[in-house]
Amino acid sequence: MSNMLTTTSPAGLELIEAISRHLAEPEWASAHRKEAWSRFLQAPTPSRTHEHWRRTDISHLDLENITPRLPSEYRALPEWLEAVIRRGARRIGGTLAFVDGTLVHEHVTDSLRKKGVIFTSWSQAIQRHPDLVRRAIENVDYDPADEKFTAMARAYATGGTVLIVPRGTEVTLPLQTFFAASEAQAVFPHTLVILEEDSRVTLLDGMFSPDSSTRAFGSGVADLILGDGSELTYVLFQQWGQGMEYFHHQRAVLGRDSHLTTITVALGASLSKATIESVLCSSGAVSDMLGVVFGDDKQHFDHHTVQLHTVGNTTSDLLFKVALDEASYSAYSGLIRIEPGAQKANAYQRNENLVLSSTAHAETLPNLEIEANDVRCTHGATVAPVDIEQMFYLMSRGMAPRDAKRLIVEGFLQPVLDRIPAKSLREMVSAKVDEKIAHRRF
Amino acid sequence: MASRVRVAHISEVEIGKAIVVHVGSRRLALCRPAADEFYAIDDVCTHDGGPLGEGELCGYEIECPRHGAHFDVRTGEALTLPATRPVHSYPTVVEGNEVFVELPE
Amino acid sequence: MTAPQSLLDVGTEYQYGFRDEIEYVYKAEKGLNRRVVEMISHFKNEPDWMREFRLRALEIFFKKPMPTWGNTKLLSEINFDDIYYYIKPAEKQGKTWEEVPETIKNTFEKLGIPEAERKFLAGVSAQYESEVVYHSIREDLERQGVIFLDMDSGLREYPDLVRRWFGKVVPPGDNKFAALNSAVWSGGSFIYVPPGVHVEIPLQAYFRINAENMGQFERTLIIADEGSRVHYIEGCTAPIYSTDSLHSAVVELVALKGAHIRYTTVQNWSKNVYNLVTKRAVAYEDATVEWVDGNLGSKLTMKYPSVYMVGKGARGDILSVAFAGPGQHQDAGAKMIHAAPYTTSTVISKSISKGGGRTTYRGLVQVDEGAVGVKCNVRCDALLLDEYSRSDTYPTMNVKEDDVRIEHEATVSKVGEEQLFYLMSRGLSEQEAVTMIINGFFEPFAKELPLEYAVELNRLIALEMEGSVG
Repeated sequence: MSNMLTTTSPAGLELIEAISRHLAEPEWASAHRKEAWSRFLQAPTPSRTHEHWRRTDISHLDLENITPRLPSEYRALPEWLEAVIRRGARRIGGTLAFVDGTLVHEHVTDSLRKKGVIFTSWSQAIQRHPDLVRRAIENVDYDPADEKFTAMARAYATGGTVLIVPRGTEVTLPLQTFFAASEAQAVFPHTLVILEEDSRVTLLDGMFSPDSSTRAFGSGVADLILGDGSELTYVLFQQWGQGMEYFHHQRAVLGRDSHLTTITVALGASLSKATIESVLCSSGAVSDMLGVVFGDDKQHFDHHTVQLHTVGNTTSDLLFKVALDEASYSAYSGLIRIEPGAQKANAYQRNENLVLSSTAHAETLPNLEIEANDVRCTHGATVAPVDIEQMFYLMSRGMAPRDAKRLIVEGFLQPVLDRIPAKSLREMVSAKVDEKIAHRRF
Repeated sequence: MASRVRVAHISEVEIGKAIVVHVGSRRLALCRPAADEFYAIDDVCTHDGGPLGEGELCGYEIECPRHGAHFDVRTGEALTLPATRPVHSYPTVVEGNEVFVELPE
Repeated sequence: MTAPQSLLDVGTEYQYGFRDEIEYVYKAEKGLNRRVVEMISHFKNEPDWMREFRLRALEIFFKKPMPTWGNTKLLSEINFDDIYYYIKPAEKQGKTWEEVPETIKNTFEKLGIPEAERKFLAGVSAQYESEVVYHSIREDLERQGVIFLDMDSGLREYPDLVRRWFGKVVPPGDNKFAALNSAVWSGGSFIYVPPGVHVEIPLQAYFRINAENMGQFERTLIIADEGSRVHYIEGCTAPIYSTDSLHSAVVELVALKGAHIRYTTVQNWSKNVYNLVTKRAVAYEDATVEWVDGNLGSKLTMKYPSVYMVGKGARGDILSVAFAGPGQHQDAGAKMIHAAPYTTSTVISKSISKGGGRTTYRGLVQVDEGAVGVKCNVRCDALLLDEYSRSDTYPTMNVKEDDVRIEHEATVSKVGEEQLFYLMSRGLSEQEAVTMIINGFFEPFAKELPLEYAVELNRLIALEMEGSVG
């Protein structure tokens, strides 16, 4: 791979200021960036001696010299992205698309607008709804273990989505955002979702880039804030091309009786590392976390999930399914943490790994930290090959071995994909998974 | 076919010590247990990836600085746990005052 | 329905907390330096290689940082300069019980050693502070070539065999406490079982710390030659002092082709003992190693018995139970390293936390390249008896092959209310009912112990549960 990310942009603080100027950001937004920038500089670059970074080596990255393009430069909507959007358009309530941080497509249905739902780019939201955005990012959490990357993403965020659903509003059609990166670019996707009381919505963030022998870089953050009684389904569809090295930090804060479903689908990127966190800090909150990872070639995946119960009467469930072919690698680590006093918390966690090749490598670390006793917490993890009996059964029905294996992989992953509530999104994601399975030689 | 690569001048390796040398994408531990003996093994401990070349050499045994596994520098054999598998060893040749390592193609 | 036996004689305090007034033959200065290490080696009249081994280990100990994981707060409270690293309690080892000095004999009699020996043991070793003070083995075993000695005698009498294996399973550089033990080790057991010999009844060792600020560093090496069998049991106690003691053992097990080793520990140190132990076994072709590990006492235990399965068809089993009361942290676990094909392992871990106690399961299952046909099953259950206590589960599974089956499951919960209600409706008090449920929870462990130990375990649990309910 050749070296990447040569940039003519001004470095450091000047660049931050330039971004702020281009987006005509108010003082507070610019201050937020600068704070993130100074945190980025202060935070040490994680090394493998840090437990959270033990399984992903980033010593080749020169983070201080990775910078985004300025957002004002014009970007056209790429043809392939247009095709993706066109195909799903009918049953979608709104679409945003960014290429290298620049908004290239924006479509919101009238009914959505009428309901007062805000679904727009970061820069527009700051202009039009400063109070809401400001309040949401004021107490933003920089996870110490991921701080280098979350601070970087917040400092450099150019493209990004803000979704605000007003009180009592149900958004029936799903919304989608596409973040695309051109070859050898650095992108910093940013998603902020605020659900007011008793509102309901489904959002998909899709991430795409062309396969390339040149390295690309991404660091994204997603802040999901669920008001009391709200329901959010959030799909992270990571479909970056070869060459991309992507870091993601997602944090959901759940209000009373709110219900979050997150579905993480990771198919792409050469290297990807994601932290996916649910904070259950109000009684009655429910978090369902689902994941599908399918690796081949030399892909490296590192997923860390957190189910943090800070109060009682909260429930979390997690199912992460990982299929690994060729020389791919996956580390899954998950923490269930029940804090003192969080009585009557229930938490479940399950990680299943299907290993399809003797050169694939799976690691799983499901962790429990329990400091309340009136709880029920269970975790399970398995690593296993394709079930020979299933193979025999399918072959006895006249199926060729490779088709049987494909069917088994599909059967393994599909139950998670079936949980994507909107048909249009489910079909898009399933099609990509099937495409990847179909390309396998097995 | 093996290729022969110069890795060090003999004076760069003290007797009874090891150094780390880079050959292409490989990192090797070049060990000199005696004045006229040079051995090359992979620098990466098979237990947990520790840097063997930074470990102490005692006779023909090198000790991984991370978890103390010992390897025979002549053969790469793992002599103690926690390592269970050998490290790769490479033939060396001294010509004049230069040390060469023979690498497989 | 009658209450279980154990409930009939519940005590009120740690039964082994008494201390002896004793004149030591030799007590090294406090603290750790080359002089202390050289003195230990000199006292023991050791060969040069062992002195070198110790000094080298001391350097490693000084160089290695403290663990950055686990209970770093408690670990940071260890003051290595305030510990006696070597205390010699008696001039020579007793071959008969009568030869043991009176005070020490009384101690072990209070702990029930000679009685236990008469009943079911094939051999007994009793270590007091740094040295083994009493040792015996049944004559018929000796005639079959079974060696059961304290480690120091083992080194003197079988130097080649010891040198072949000592520090090969746990090298000094493995971790900071293995390095410490390698530098100052004293006592422990050396066992060799010849090919095909089955030692059907257990060999037992008893470890006692008596002095304040004592560090006990025994070193045990067990070699089971091809097709042999052996069962070893160890028990540990100490008096209660206001300052802490340190117990840091290294145990190395070698199960050669087809051999079977079972190693049982009932750890009941007083609650001021740091118990930081490295236990590791290597299992060759078709060999089996079982660790049966009970942790009831100590302030902080960090212990992860492991089995390195390096030969085809080898097997590892770990059954671990832990009980953590107020001020205690039991950080225990298991490591199963599948380095050869068709190796199988099981881990069962059960823990109970109470009164602010903390239990941690920390485990590793690893499958190396080429280790096809591996099966491993891990099951962890934790009970939390109140809202102040804590349970952690930190397993790691690292799999580099496809033809393997690894399963892990863990559950944390409280004592079932339905169970409790049922037992109380049968006339048991709440405390009796909880004790009974806990005995049932530990049953898989208890049934692996010789009867005397099982009874003792139930008694200890009842003791721990006293006054804990209602």
